[in-house]
Amino acid sequence: MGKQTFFGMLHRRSYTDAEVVERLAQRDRVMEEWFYHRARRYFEEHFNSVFFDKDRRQEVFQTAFLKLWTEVDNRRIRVSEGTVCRQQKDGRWLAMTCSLTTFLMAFARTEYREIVRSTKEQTFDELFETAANADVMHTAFDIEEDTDVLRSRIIDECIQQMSPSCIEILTLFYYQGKSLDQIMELRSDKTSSKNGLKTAKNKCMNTLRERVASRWTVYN
Amino acid sequence: MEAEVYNPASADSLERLIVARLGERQQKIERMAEWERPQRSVWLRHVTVAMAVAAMVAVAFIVWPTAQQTAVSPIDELGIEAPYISREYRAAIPEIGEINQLIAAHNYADALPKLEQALEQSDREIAEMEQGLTYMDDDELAYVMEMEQNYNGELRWAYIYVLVQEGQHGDARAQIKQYLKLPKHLCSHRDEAKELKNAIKEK
Repeated sequence: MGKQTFFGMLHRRSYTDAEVVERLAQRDRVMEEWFYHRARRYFEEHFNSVFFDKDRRQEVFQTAFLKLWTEVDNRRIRVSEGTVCRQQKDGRWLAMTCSLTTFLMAFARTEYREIVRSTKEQTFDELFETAANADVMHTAFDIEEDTDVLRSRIIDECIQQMSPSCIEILTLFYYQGKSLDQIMELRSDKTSSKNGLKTAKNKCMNTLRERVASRWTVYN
Repeated sequence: MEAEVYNPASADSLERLIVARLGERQQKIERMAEWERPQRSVWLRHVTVAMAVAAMVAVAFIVWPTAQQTAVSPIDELGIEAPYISREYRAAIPEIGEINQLIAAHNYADALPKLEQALEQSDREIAEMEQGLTYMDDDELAYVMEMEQNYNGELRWAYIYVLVQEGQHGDARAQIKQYLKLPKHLCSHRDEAKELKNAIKEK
């Protein structure tokens, strides 16, 4: 499929989930934006929560969208022989029989539950299976796994399990290169002291490293 | 002593990978924030500014001298800017370019039938979508409907502008009435429309 502009894409009525996944995996910027807006609209129409204000709803949506996008990005959701499928924790590949937007809503409901702390958190695998609205094909897909992609996926999943505060501190310090003083200023309402921040930063990174190493051992 | 700023040179391979994935995540978040901002192209901003300057020059050197002898249009009295229908996401609609050019050239007589036709077409498409006479699924329909309603609002405002410039105040009043019934987000020239409605009434 050749590259399209956003203008051209808007006049096409719809794309299959397989097309969306393939193009997201290719880092097609136009498809990323197109799918974001599509998913946003779906979310607004189907996420019924009178308790959340606009900012919180946006937070729920963007967290859910980020999870789905990351899974496609690190090939946990991919297209195989024309079918969109997702790899479970036990390594099985299952064909998705619900749409990407339905699955997005499952992520969003998890976010919602985490925020209101009303139920025990389900694993994404359980969510995936409950989100499916037809028989799930337990077909063993023989998909070759690229080591780099697998490593990225493990790290992404471990990052997602960290607290938002940890993710923020790690991103500011390691990715954005902010100094501890700058981070203190940015997080003035959250961090009590510089030493506290330093300890938190070290603890977050050590925890993340341990989790990644542990998961990597399981795979190997 | 522990560094207060991250030194990538001291990182091992795992740490470098972690930093790369944190970066990926952050870039996605920034892109989502960008997509949430109101869509407005840089090009459109430049064109709008250029048109505003051109309009001021025209008023100073052309309109003002002749306005001393001829009747001043309510549009000019109120200082309402000429509309420009956005080309964003509408590359497949060539009429928009033609209409914009005609309005910019003050050729309202030729712009009028084109606007009427475009508005009729847009009204028809909205009616079809409202009746469910499409092959789109629900979320796609809602999205395309909103895009069409935005376009319809812009067309209607341009139509009102041209009708007034052509002295067709009766038709303009009817269109203004329809325009003011639109929801706020589709009626970006609400205040101007209200002022125009009063100005035409007085005439």
